[in-house]
Amino acid sequence: MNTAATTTTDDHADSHDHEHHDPRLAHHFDSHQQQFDTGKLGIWLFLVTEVLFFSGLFGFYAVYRSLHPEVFLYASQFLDTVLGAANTVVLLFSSLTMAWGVRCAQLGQTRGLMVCLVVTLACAAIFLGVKSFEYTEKAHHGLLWAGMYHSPEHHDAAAADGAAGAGDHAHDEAAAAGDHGDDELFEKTKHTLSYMTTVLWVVIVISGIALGLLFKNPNKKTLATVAGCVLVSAAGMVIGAYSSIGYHHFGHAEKPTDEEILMAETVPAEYAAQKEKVPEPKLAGTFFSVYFCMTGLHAIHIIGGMIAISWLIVRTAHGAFTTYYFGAVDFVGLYWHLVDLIWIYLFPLLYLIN
Amino acid sequence: MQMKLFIPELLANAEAGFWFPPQSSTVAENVDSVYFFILWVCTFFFVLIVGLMLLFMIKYRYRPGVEAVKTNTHNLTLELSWSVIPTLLTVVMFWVGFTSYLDMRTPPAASYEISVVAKKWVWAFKYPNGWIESELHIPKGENVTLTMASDDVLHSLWIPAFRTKMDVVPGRYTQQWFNATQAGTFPLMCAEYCGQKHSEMITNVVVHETRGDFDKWLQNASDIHKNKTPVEAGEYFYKSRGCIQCHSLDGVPKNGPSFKGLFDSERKFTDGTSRIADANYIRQSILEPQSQIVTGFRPIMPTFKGQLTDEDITAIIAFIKAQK
Amino acid sequence: MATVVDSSNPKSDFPIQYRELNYLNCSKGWKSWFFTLDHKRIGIMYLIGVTCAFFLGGLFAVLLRTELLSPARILLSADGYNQMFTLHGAIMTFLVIIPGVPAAIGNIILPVMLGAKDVAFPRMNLGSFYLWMFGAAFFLAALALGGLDTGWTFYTPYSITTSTAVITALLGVFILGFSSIFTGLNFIVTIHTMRPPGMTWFKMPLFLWALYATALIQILATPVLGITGLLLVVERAFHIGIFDPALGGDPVLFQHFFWFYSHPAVYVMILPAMGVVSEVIAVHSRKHIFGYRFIAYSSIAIAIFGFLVWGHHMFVSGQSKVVAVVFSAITFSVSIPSAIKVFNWLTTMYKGSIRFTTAMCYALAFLFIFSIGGLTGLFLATLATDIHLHDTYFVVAHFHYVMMGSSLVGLFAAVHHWWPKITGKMFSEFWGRIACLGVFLGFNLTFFPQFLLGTRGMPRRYYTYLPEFQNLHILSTCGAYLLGLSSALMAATLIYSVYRGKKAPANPWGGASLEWQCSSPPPANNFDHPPLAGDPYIMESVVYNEEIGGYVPVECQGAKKGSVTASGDKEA
Repeated sequence: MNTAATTTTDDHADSHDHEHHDPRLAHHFDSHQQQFDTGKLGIWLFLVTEVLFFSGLFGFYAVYRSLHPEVFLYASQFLDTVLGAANTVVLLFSSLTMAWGVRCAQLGQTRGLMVCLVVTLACAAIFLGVKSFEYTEKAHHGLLWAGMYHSPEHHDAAAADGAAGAGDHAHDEAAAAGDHGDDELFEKTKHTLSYMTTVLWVVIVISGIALGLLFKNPNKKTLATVAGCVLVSAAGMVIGAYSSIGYHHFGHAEKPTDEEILMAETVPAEYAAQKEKVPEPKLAGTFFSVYFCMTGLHAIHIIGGMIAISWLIVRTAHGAFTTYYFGAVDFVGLYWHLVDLIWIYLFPLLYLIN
Repeated sequence: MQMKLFIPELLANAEAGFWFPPQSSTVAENVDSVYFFILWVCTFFFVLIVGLMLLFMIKYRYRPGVEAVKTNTHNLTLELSWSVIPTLLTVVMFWVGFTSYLDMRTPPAASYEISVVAKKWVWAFKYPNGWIESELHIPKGENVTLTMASDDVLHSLWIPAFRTKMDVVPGRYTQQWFNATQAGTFPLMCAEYCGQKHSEMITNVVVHETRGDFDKWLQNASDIHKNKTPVEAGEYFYKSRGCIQCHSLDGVPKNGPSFKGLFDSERKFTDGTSRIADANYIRQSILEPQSQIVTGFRPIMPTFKGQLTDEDITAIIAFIKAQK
Repeated sequence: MATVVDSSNPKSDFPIQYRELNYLNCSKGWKSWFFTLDHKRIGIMYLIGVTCAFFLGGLFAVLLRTELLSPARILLSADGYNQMFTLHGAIMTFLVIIPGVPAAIGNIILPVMLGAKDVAFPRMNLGSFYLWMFGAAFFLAALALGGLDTGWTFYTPYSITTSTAVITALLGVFILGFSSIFTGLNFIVTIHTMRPPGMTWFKMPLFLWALYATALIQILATPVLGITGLLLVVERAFHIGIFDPALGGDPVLFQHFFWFYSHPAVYVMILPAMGVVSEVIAVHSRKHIFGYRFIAYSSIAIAIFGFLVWGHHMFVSGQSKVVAVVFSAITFSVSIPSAIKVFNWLTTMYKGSIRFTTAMCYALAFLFIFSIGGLTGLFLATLATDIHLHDTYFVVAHFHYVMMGSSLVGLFAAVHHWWPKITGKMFSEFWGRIACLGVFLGFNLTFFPQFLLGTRGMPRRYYTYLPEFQNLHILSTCGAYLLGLSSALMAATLIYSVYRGKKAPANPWGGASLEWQCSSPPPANNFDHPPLAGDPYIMESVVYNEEIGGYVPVECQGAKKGSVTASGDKEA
């Protein structure tokens, strides 16, 4: 600023920029390389903190699994491996498109970048759609965290004499009807989906407005792009949820929702025999506590990623990225890969315990 | 001289030392000697550091015209020596602390077992014959092991005169043991923050001179229904089982309703129903406190199922009945 | 905010190019502060915030000590007392000491010391400040919504069952955690990528090493606190049964996770203060720091060992004997790097020319207090004695000696050392030293009796106590009053200087690191071109100039007098 005072007579407000004419280079950096390196180190450190954040949860997982292995063995059978696997594939694919997008950005292919980002966003939304179905299904069966957990065994008992005894508990009634409750589940999933879509709308619109404010003049193009992002997200979630319902409906048509029968056939014989003796461990709900905490936190990170990707899409639409300025894409990409990687760990740890 | 005048004033217990309460258990002497060993090492280093600091402050203070003298900016031998010597000292400290710790934490094979239940904000010591007392009575010169459990939150049982302390954790059992070397009465307190009356969770350890004295005491104490009228026995339970923490006798409600005028009055419950407070009602409130919550109170009373016999409850009912 | 320099009063009629511009007067209006990306302005806002929080926490402390004058009730009910000590602890830890030196002083000084124009991510820096404000707001909200009575440690299951505003406070902690993470991240990246030409890792001022080590702990430990706090929130709100023994959870697991953060956090508090003392002692003794590498490495060693010793908070919590023994052994290893630093500082003073400026007085007080604080840690690391001393006033005294007596006195030293640089004004050395003496005496009077209380059997967090402890409590309370008054005097002296202080020269103390090379206060950009950096501890490279009233580079002085020889100055 001394220079500003001694060499120019301009208004000092301009002095920030008077040395650098490139708006893509922040005033306190000397070169694009320095700016990129700084960002890169920053995002890696941020990822380290993210890993540690999750590592707290993995720590809990390790402690409880080593203390109560039978709980994990028992309860993980209620998770649908096929849906989990499908989500894994979806996320892996989104990682691929994200990496491709980074490459496109490096090469300056704006169109390719745009396509990749939109596909990544859609994949993230599909993941959330499937997840919303899974959550709804768990809630439907009372498989919630420890404080809200309803034993499925209790369910079955209720279902068995539910026909005779008047279900004094509304939930038991639902369970009694649960054998043919696919329609109800379907309805519930739609509810969940509409909640999630509403939340997504709110989140994306608010963040869109916030980001719009960061731009000097939020214009029609920005708003249209934000709306597009919301549309893609909503569509992805609907696709994800409806295909899970479809899978659930057709995949289980012959064997109605009684998951235990299904599992009795798929789990090893010795475990099935063991299960006879120890029907349900005392702390089965703890597994679902861990399940909801871990996947829930992961889902929040997916939503965060979707916001970041939407922001990239908006900036891409404005042509912000060039061959020498693509740091943001690279950094969001790294974040996205990490979120992916965490799922790669979560999937076997929660779904594939047998 | 000045210090000598000052110190006794600071000391409440004449038997106690400047630092510690009297040594009243077998491990206390050990702990104190470890403490004083570290204290002397620390004093040496403290005097060294502050002495050098004062010396330099005086000797090398700024004087006009005198510049700082350029000295070596590092000296490996010197720096290594003040890294290695403290390291060796800490190894010694660790070792003496470690060996005494093992003694303190390994309960001896043969010992007198007392189980402890801590709840907000009262201790309950249960003797082998099933007697429960809110003070800890032990014989001198005998190993005593406490097996501790908590009904609600974390507590910590600390007997400063014995130099032992152990947290009482809900959902698991913890243990501590000691062997008293001195007859007398010593404070026993909760050291882990446990809420409103944490600081009133203090009781006494009474060390009996001989095992005979102790047995006699236990015999007497546990014969309550023979020695006392039901009302007196009820009052005893009222005080020893912690009722007193929440139920007053003067009509002022605390965490729970007052016992004054309770008997035969009409109680209104949070679920809208009401009932006359007869003997059955009181019995049910003691055994299943959550089944009927009187309007205006929180459901915080723990159950006493299995902790009070029918005879005990009858005594308590008689006591409540007496609170007109 | 009122820190506008007279000679360049923005209201003056001088055309802008004739005014001496600095970061304080280069723009005006509240927007230029609240939306500033300038690290120095953000630092000042932090400093103001931290000061307010310090006096709020201090007020709580004074009320607590007043209550403890007698075992009977004086001012507060038992519940009021419990809430007061909880908020005192939480505010002092999360709002004052943790952001004190790194976020407030570090923010202002770190980039200038590096010869950089700003920190690596200025927007994130501002965001981190607003997170701090937001977190503080949550704390105040917790105060309004029924208080908080869990102790700042939030131990389960008490924190699950109490009816006070635990969730609000935990969300505050969570948010403050992210503020701290972002600050740390910013500092690490800035130190890695924005050092000026010539400043190799081992030519960095030791304050930067300390901030670097601090930042490492901040980003590695704080996320664990974040997730732990979040899980406790979820536990309270939804009963997930992870910490709640009623649902099969393990309350001791919470302690492990809590201390995994909170023990390293102790070093977040003390390391920057150690960095400050390294600077202050060298500059005010006019000596090159002794054993630079040992001090630098010991900062890193403390950061690393700090992660391995959390279990020493749990010797009586029911963890297994083997675990306790291992943690005890590792705990001793932390004491060594601290000892190394103390001896190196002492040797730095040897044959120096010691100026008893206010900053140096605070640094000497730090040495005295930290020696006691550090040495009493040995009693708590030793298994046998810790069993007796755990959760007593001995622990209270020990950690106040380290956190208050060392970290905050370090902060005071830093504030006085860099005050001329930050505000461009000199404060009254006389009143500064009086305040320092008061802080020193008041502090020791407050906390030394507490060691005795602890060994004699006074547990911490007690609203009432056995009558034999009253004398010592009265002594302690008198100390607290003196400490409070002296702190107020210190603040008054500094604030007075902003309005009436003499204009500060660029280098009033004779420091050789880069921040003393730009004007006081620095221009908004700090340096137009990255300066060349040499050894930051060659005090002979600057000499006193009477005309300016401060130190100038030896070349400039030489041009006038022509007789001073620069010794060992490799600066280009």
